[in-house]
Amino acid sequence: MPKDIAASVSIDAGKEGAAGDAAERTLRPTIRPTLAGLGFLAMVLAGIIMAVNFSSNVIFAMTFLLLGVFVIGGWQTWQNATGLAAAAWRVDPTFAGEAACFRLTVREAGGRRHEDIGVACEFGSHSERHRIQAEDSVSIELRRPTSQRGWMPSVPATFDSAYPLGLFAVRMAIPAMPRCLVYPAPAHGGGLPMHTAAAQAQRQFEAETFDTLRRYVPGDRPGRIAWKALARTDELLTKTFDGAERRPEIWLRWVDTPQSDTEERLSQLAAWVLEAERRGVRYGLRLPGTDIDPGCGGWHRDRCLTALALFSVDAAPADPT
Amino acid sequence: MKIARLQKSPLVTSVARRWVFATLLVAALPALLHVQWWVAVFVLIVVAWGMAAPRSRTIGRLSHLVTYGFLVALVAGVYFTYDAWFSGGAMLSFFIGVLFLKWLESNTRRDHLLLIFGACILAALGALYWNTIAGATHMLLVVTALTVSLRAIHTGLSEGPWFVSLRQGAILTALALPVMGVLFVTFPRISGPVWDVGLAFGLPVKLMLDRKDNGLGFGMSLKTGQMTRLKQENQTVLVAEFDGVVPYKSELYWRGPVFWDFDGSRWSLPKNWDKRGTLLRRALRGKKAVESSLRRKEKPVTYTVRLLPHGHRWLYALDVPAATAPESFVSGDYQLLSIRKVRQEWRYGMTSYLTYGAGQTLPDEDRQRALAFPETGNARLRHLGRTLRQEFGDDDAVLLEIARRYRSEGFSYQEGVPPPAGADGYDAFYFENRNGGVQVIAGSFVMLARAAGIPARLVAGFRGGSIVALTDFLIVKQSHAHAWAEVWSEDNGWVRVDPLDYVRPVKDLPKEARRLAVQRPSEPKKAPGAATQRAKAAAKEQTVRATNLRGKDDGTRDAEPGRSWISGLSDGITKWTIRYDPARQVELLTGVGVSAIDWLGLLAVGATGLFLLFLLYAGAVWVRRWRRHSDPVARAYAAFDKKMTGLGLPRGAAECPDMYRRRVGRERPDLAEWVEDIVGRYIDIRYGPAPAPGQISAFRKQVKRFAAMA
Repeated sequence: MPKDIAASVSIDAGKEGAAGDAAERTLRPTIRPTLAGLGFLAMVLAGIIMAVNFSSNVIFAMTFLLLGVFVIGGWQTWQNATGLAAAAWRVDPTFAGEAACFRLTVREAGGRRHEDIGVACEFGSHSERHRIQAEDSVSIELRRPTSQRGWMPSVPATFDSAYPLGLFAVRMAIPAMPRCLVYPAPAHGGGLPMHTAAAQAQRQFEAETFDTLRRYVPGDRPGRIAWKALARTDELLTKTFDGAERRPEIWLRWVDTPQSDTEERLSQLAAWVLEAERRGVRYGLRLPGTDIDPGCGGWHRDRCLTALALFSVDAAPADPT
Repeated sequence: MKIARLQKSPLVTSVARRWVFATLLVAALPALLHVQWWVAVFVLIVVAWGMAAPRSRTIGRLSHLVTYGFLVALVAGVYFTYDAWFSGGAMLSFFIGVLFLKWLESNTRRDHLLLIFGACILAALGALYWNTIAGATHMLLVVTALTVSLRAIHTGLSEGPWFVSLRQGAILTALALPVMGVLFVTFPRISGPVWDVGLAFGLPVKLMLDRKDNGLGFGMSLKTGQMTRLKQENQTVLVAEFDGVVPYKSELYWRGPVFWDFDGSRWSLPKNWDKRGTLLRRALRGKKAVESSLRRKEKPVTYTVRLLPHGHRWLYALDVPAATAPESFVSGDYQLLSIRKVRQEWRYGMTSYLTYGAGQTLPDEDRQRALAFPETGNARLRHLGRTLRQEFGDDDAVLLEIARRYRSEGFSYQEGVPPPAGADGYDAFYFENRNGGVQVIAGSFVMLARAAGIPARLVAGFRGGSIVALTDFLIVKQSHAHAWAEVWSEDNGWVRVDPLDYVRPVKDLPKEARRLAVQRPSEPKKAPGAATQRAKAAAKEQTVRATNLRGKDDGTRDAEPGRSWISGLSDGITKWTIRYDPARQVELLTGVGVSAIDWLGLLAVGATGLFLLFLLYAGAVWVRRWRRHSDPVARAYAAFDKKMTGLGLPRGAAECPDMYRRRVGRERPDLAEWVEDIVGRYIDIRYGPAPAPGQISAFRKQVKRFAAMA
């Protein structure tokens, strides 16, 4: 099943960034005067002209002191920004309409406290400012609203700080915020489609049919112990029965969704996946062009949701049934 | 360079608002003391309203109206209390008022930035009236407040008490002080109004601005008090560019009309003086004629003059011109004259001798004119002249005595004292008030010389000029107008004597040169006996006194013995800060061995200074970080290791302190006690319970003692 493999690859991609942990890098700042800084310089220039004009040493001194404050302020801005290191962002897939939560761990390596560090990226700057203590690590969280299923593209992000005077601003390129997988928003209501026998996953064997023996594990019910086998082999074995541990199995099918719109159908399927997972039912997913065999558990759920998130009508065969 | 953008101007915190207000108040204080009293009252009312008015929305609308009301009141106040809209006081009052009104309605970050920038400009304007150490201290306060305000505006400063914020701001300002020092010393100083500088470099600023009379402002005669009025003007007369170094300003006499005829109240030129024919008949045409008529010529200077139009004939040249320029000639009185009246900007190159004796012979007709004075007025002065002649005999001795009298008999120079009028004007000046302007001083001198039988004449013109720092440009203004005398000496011809130098010694020469300058006019050409000796001694004593007096005028008293070192120090500070000027800059930098002082050199020195400063800062930061990061115990233990290695007992890489201690105990029993102690302490600190306060320092001390041991 090539489609299946593609989906499982996508799951790893959905947790992008997790692999980049080792690649922590020191942030290199660039510094520029702000608009306020330019205003300040204009004032200094006016001061110099005044001082020359009136040959006033007090004004000269004042002007140069202001220039000194400007330079030292800029230097402090620079000092405040250097010595930070950051690894890659982490983000988990999210459902459309919820905010994707990006997390970045910033480590202080310069032995200094850093004030007033903010994150800025394309979708608006983050109003919260961070203080990072010396030799400390801080997890910076950024929530990015989502609206549409599928891949949310990666955006570059920067740190910025104009501490302490706001005359200079420092920018540091931090790792770009990775692309993030957005699942379809689950629809409300609608029970699981358990109705048609044809839709049910077939059990392989009758319930309670003896299947096989396996090595005894403490905690197995004594009634299941194969005493006869013990007599024969001196080994504690446990009888397993097909269906005993299997939960009911269902197929979640595209064709079973009551809606007609593609997005609404996907939302319905997403809701079913979540519901099935919650109830502990084994479920498979059958989309036009993609089948995922029944299973359960987080990994299986993510696989199904990923398939839903990346579902494209064009890629599906012409006849969805 | 791309500009980092601040986000939309957010509101400031109340803490920031308070700091900005404090900055504004501190900055406005000196300016407030110098404008009409009602401005302070106005500010008080505005501030009271700002504090009292609740910031609710309904009041918000009303407060706009109130602000407009305040503005109208401010304009009305300025209108009714100041003569002119654009007078300094009116503008300052308006600026203060507007700043505080702006404070009233400001709440965004951008507004507050503008406010503190405005406050800085206001403080600078205030410093104009307060150019002292106190003013400088105030400036420091303003900048500190500004720094705190900037921090407050940017970060909000909502945490921590106010004095912590203040301390942080003060630290930043203190770190900026060395930068200020370097820039203050090395920034190329340009003196004088900005438009003068522009003028010097050929910008036609002034020429466009006014076409008023720019010359001496008088034509054929010099009436009583005319010079004083002229000296109050500030129009530029000419700009001179010197080849090479500009001579001392006190040596620069720009020669204008030469007056022979005195009628008791005014000096005038002959009636037909202005006629070209008359002038040309006596003129010295060409360089050769001029040179050959000079008996003494020293200190040649070459320069180019840009003369602004003034509607008269004279082209000013330095005393005494040695050549002619195109379309000009040198008159018999050594004035450089144009063949037509100067009605547009005139540019000419010129060479002059600053020290001269001019004229080979003095025809009898001229001698008569140079000795004439009205026989009616100034009886006492005439009598004094005769007496001096009888007492001292020879011309030089008489001149010395006259000089001595000007110097030591309580004359003082003050422009603007109403000059005594009438036929006895010089008597009134010389014997009674002894206080007058340059015109009456020079005039009375000529009168007295004539009375004593020495041919003398009065020369009007300009003396000195403003040097545009670090260039060879000199700007001469009407305020430099001057009058001096020339006396005929049989040996040297016409020689310049400036009586003002007797009354008020010159300022801008270095000390030795200054002494010479004071003595030079009185230096005997031939030693004429006891009278000269006496005069010389008096002159010397007088020079010393006058130097001190001059010092007091300037506020640059040299420290005298017996004065406390504190006042000496404060004088020194004043001298090198408040009175730091282009000359001092050059003096200072030559003092530290910078030979070529020009713009480039200064900038290079400044850049080097700043670079060294930043190396220092970076070093300090590095050391601090290293200290914080390295553990004192580890450092001490490393020193101990080094010492032991030196003693031939290196600690093995795998040896723990205890093993090492035991090994040393076996191998070097003589060191055992020391090693036992040091390593024991180390183990206690490292592996025992949290070390007691003195334990670490005791350990370090012990290591030090051990390391110091041979």
